[in-house]
Amino acid sequence: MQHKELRFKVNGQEQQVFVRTNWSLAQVLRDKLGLLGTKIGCGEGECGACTVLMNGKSVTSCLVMAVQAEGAEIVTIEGLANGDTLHPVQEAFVEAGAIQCGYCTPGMVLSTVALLEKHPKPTEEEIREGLTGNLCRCTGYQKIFEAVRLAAEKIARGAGR
Amino acid sequence: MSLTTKESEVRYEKGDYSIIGSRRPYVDAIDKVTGRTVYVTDISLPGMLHGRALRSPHPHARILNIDTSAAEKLPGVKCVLTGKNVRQKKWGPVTKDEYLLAIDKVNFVGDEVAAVAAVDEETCEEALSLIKVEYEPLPAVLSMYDAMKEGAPQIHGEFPGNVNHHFHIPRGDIETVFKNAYFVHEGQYEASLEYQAYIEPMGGVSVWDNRGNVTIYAGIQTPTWSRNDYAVALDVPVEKVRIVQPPFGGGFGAKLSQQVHPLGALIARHAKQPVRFCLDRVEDFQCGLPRVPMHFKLKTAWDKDGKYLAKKVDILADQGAYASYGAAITLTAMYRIDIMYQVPIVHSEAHLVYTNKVPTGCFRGFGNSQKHFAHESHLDEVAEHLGMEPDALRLRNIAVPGYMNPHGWKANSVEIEACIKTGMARSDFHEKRKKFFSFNKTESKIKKGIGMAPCVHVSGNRSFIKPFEGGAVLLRMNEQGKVFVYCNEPDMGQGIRTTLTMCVADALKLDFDHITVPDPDTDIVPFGLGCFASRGTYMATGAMHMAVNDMKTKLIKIASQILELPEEDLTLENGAVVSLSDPSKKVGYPEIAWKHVCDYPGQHMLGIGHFTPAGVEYPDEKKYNNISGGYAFGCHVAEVEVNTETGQVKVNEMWGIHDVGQPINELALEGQIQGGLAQGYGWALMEHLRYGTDGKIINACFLDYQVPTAADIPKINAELVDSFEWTTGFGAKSIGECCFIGIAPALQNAIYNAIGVRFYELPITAEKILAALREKNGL
Amino acid sequence: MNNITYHAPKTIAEAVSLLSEVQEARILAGGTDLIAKWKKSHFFDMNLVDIRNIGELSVIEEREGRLFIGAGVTMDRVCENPAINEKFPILAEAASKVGSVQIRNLATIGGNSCNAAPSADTVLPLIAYGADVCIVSKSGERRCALKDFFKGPGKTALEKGEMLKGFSLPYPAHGTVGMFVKHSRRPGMDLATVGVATVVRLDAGKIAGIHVVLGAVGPVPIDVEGLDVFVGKEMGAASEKIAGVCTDAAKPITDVRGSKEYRSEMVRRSVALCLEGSSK
Repeated sequence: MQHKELRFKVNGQEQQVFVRTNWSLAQVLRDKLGLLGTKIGCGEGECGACTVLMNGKSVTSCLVMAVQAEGAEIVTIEGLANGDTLHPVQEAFVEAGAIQCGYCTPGMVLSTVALLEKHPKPTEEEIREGLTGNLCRCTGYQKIFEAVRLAAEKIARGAGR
Repeated sequence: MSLTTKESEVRYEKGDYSIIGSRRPYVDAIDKVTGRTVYVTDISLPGMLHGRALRSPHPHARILNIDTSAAEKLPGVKCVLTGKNVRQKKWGPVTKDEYLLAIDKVNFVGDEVAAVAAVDEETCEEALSLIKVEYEPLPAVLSMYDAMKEGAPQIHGEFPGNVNHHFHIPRGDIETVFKNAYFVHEGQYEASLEYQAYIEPMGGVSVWDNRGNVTIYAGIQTPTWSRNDYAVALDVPVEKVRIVQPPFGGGFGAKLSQQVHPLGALIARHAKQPVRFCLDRVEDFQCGLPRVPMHFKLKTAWDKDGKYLAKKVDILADQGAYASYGAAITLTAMYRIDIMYQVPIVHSEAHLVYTNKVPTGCFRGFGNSQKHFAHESHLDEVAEHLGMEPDALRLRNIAVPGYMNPHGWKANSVEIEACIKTGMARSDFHEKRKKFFSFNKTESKIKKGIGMAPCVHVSGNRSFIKPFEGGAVLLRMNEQGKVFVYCNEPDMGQGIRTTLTMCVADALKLDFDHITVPDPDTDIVPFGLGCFASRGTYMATGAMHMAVNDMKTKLIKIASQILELPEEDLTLENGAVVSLSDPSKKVGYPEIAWKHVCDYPGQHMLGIGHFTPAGVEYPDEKKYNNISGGYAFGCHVAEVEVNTETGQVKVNEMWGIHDVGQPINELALEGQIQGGLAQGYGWALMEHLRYGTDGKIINACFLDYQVPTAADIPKINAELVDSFEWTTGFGAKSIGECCFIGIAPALQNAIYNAIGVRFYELPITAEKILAALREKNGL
Repeated sequence: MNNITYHAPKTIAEAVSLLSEVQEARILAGGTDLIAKWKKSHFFDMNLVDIRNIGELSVIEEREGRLFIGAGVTMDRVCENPAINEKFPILAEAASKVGSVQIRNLATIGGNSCNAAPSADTVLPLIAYGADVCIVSKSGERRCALKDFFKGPGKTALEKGEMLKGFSLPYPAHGTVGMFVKHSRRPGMDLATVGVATVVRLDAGKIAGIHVVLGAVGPVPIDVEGLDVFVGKEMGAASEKIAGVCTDAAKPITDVRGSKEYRSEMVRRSVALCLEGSSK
């Protein structure tokens, strides 16, 4: 079993961990760094629960080998809020009632963050298309769509200040 | 003697609510949105090992030999278990027909043959690969239609013909009605194998102490009730089993009693260390407890004005390799819908059979969904024959408040008429039917349609444990005046934690911040059955009504001593007891709570509540007697476009209109309705767990077992009609299952409206539609 | 099982040298196919050569009057690249239909070809546009037409020690119209049941050049032959016949995504749709 030292930045902090070459990024985040907000729903990149941002792009961390994250900047759900102040996307998810069981929520929120960075004023279609990689079985997506729209407004208002 | 008020005396009135009926984000939403919520698969205990099971690759085979020696020698492996080296008993929630580890025979692909505990999952995987099992494959039953045939392989010796249950419930002289009726209609329908697809797979973490007590941290909807089943499986007294229910990632019925929890506990017992035993997604597909597939033969009789005279149904149900809750689910499919329509004569018969496939179980609707698909398709056919509008036929026959059906069930609040009429109005149903009729006569390759189906489900089905009925809530106010809510109707994402918090906040005039609903722990919470059968809101808020009143009385009594004012002059306001005559005189809950703790040294103030739904009786041997205190109603509507060149269906919009009595949290109710309709959309159009001829599932992954994504689901309109269920304190009925039930037949009816072809089995895929269109057009 | 050796070369030279030395080396690019397959297949042992750090593989640039797209270019970049969108729009479109946003952020255009799945989306427009593949090994570089690259499901023309460097695409002549249809069970996050790419050049309503490539209806992508006979014909009159030729060329099987009959019908219809779109 080969090991390797991995240096990367997680939620703004430099990390240096010893990992097995067969570990996924999701595993390292969860088991080595205790960032349990990254959920594993299928392990095969088909449900999106493990979505994190890697160098600013959303990826399914169960399909990324940990060693591939060398030098990368990772943002997990734990890194979104600023202290006790929620990220506007998080705030919008709470307010819109977009969360039920919550297991898809971290991945869904991070996909929304990536979506709004690319499309600050997303169309209906861009919202749907941007979230196809994140399965939710509770909400029927309606309140998630509302949350995305609400978050876009919040971000726009914040930026205008 | 029962403490319950007699049925005739029960009639709660709507209160003057301030918080109940408003829109509240979930109280646990911030933890969930920040990733702080610890789910079952996140739990780690000191010294914890990992468990994995070796599963049968054969649908039906005799186990000749298992060699675990190589696995046992692998470094990091703590123990290797097989059916031969552990103490266990056959268990099952209804029929005791399953071992935790197969002893001499496996009955489906996925059946557990051996299990290991090791330091990590990788070592477990490797250990499993080192276990050598010698099988003698046996002929398998892979279709429910073959199960009862002569010469079919026998799966369980105790159940000849592979029949687990045969039910027959005749009410009235049906043949005479069929002979004399103006119109008799017959049809056959098949509801497919649907997987719940919660995003967190099944699992649990188990730990034993030295006195032989086990604690299972489990993703489970029925903590207290399932202890009984798990105790049997583990062959220990029930008091040795404690279940703690942390937050978990969705259930939809699958997470009632299930193999994974006691098997994890069994592994932990032998490992003598805590063990996390969670399924991966492929295993969850293989051996979760998906929906019971059913075949229906329906025959109904009508007069010329559309009066529903009689209904006969014959069901064949496939429970897979082990019975799970199949019997109760089949019974539900037989007759639950009979509380929505006034049909005087109803006959139902069912055979529940074993096959060598995944055991099937509870899934949103509990057999009633399957029946609605058949029945509400059937009723549209009848409406067409009789030249009636689909809603008119239903409205002609729906139940009314106080209706007592032939099974002895009594409907109390019934707003089905309002649901149907609102659904018709909101969707512009009749206007669209006319418009689409003209449009569909044009050459366009797109055909449009709109369809509806009303729906009903219980709200708090009676218990299966005679004579227990009902539910309980225990409130505890600590010395700082904070209230803790103990209840056995757990939150699985449906929001009951928020519902209970809202009831306390409303009745005790207390801030949400001062109310906590801890994770249910069977050592602490009152006895209860859990969240299934749409029990949560109806049972828990029923009990809550009494508990808050109990606590209110105590608060006022102590405040009266502190303020030296008569109790009649006191009321609750903003976390304090306040004088009505002089509002400047008040005392806050912390002070009252502290006085309680001092007057009764150390004792926290309790609010005790229990609730037995009025008029509910355990069924007699003829399955007669009311099964539920409340019945929830709804009407679902779907508008579709069918591409006649590809068979693809585009759903433009869906409507879910519901009667849930008094709404508690409108935001959560909308979420339930939208989620239910979306899940029903999947069942109707996409989802089908399919088996190959080798008895293996061919689509055990999310790429091939397709559930709807964000790109599939159209706009879903959710609306509640005015209603109050007077049998329960806050007047609330549950929504959980009813919101799933009507949409599949509504979609079916919409597709028929578009293309004039009806589909008798689910799912209605593009491929099936195209084939049917070609056949219709003689191609 | 579960043993992985990991190499992350920084240059093509290092990579091909590793490929020649390491036993049964597997190239890791986006990983979206390989890692998923590895997990589904009981964590077989792998010697990984991760090529994502090789800058040369992620270029999109003009070379020798053609467009070169490095094998390591991720799908999201294919979708957004101006040159690709302008000159090879259906390649960008096909890339936008691969998996989900997360998958497209990882998956590479080279991986989509090297994985050699019959349903691969980007392969169809690449073949239709006449792309060549550039293959490198320790002994140098060779080129072949992408349409000859596929040898069967999961099998390519890559020999031991070779890796895909990128694709070289000739710029389409003026008036060329590309069309792409991905027919799948659900609108997002799915594999194609049938994929069709057409590249057509019309001259005053008459066909001056035509290329049709079919996906998911045979062991390898099908570059439909025998369409030259339609050159000079009116598109309106010929399209049904072309669709017929394409349908005959398809060799679909029945699987979990669709039956061969349905697939066959969808080939006919999708080709017709593409051709109809081409003449608009």
